[in-house]
Amino acid sequence: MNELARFLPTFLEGFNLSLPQNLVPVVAMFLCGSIVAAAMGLSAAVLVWAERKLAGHFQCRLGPVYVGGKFGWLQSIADGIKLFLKEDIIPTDADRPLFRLAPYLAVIGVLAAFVAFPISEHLLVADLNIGIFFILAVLTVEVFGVILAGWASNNKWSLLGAMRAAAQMVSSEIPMGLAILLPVMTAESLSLKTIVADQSGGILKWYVFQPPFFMAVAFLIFFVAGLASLKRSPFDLPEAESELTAGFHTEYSGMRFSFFFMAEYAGMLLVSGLAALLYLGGWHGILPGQSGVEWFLLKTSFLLFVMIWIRWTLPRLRIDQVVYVGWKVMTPFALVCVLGQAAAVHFRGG
Amino acid sequence: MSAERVAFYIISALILGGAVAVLFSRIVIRAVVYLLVSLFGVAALYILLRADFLAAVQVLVYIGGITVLMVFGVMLTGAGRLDAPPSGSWKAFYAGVSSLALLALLGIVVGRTTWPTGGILPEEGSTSILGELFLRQHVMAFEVASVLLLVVLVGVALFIRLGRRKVAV
Repeated sequence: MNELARFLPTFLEGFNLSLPQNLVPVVAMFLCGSIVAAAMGLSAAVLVWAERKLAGHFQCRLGPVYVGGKFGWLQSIADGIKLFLKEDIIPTDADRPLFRLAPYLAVIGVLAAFVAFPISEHLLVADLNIGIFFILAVLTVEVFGVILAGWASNNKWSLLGAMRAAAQMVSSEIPMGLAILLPVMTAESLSLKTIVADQSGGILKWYVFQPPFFMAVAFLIFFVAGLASLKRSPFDLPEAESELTAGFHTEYSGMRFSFFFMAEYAGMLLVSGLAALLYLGGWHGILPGQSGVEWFLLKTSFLLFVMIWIRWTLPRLRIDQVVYVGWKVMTPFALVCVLGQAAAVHFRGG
Repeated sequence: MSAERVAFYIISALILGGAVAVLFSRIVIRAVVYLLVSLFGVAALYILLRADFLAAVQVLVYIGGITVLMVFGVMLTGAGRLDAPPSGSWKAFYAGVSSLALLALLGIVVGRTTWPTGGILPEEGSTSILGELFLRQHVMAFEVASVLLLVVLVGVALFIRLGRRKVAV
């Protein structure tokens, strides 16, 4: 962002425009926000298309084929236009202001998280000192939006979905936070840039492949807890369509529904990206010296593929099973990993 | 007026407005949402003071934890609306007395503290400084607080289990 703020006045001079000096950071902030929002929407559209196409092939059918030529690659655009044009229905008995507010909260949480999300060494909005911690913090706003949506809809299915979302969030957040502690301890920094820089020098330097392999377990815990916090299958209980119609977003239509949709897909990107940054070396390549955006995108897309793969392969769990996995399986394992890695870092002489 | 000062006034208005709205809201969930605004304001204030770690903790604990718990509580108990308290009841009297006592206490604390003023900006990266302080100078207080929280957690689990056994019998 600071580079953009420095670049902006010279850019505007080219158009014979000028900006008061103290407004430059504000404008740069707005520009960054818009870029992040646009990138989020666009990647969500691509992901929706990929999900539908892959789901088709997992089930031995073709998925979308007509819109936009051969692979149906304009399907999400068509879906987006459809959602724009749909009627925005608010139930009579809903709590109107809260019903309207909830989707925005869900999107804002994920959007804010992308501010601290580096894509490569130079492509990032802000290298916060507390990078990863900031992301964890603002992601909780998304869950609040979901719970609020369920309550404000004044619908039993929505309410049940929201309660499941809350229970699931509480049980997945703790293992996730503990799993993140391991890379943070090893790199001795909360900044994602520093954590990735510590993993430079080939595939053996990636945190997953570091002996004594506590980090590999932490990677698995992070990924599973991430799936649970995203409400992705097999943890998609808050919106379990066979029991709750559509869970917390039953009453939502049109753009407001698509906001929840976008938040989920952007969240998928966020969790996969974070897993790549924290454990898989971020933008560093397999051989020492290789680095670049393409590596990061490759790893993230692979993890996204795994997420979609899991969704169309595994059946849904029960809510008590989800909470059980969170508290009694993942949390103890994560605690052991934290202790083990702490000992490893200590004896390494760090 | 500097940008920082403008931001300070906007944020303060958010905090105070949110707090007042909480008091005058009859619908519990809306009160929680107003509280959210107020708590966000406090986090923004921390960012303005360059205490970014504290701001993230504020968001994580209060918005991700406390307000979610409140909404959870409302959803489980179905307490949607607060009715006007009957006038002249003792409850109102006690509430007034305890609020005034709290106000007086806070006033005394605020009055007695010497606030560091002036143009000192803390170093970038308060996280490591905080960590040092927690694990060296204030390790006792830190550990006591965590033990207290653990006791509360275990106690609640125990109470729930005892209650369930009674129901089963």
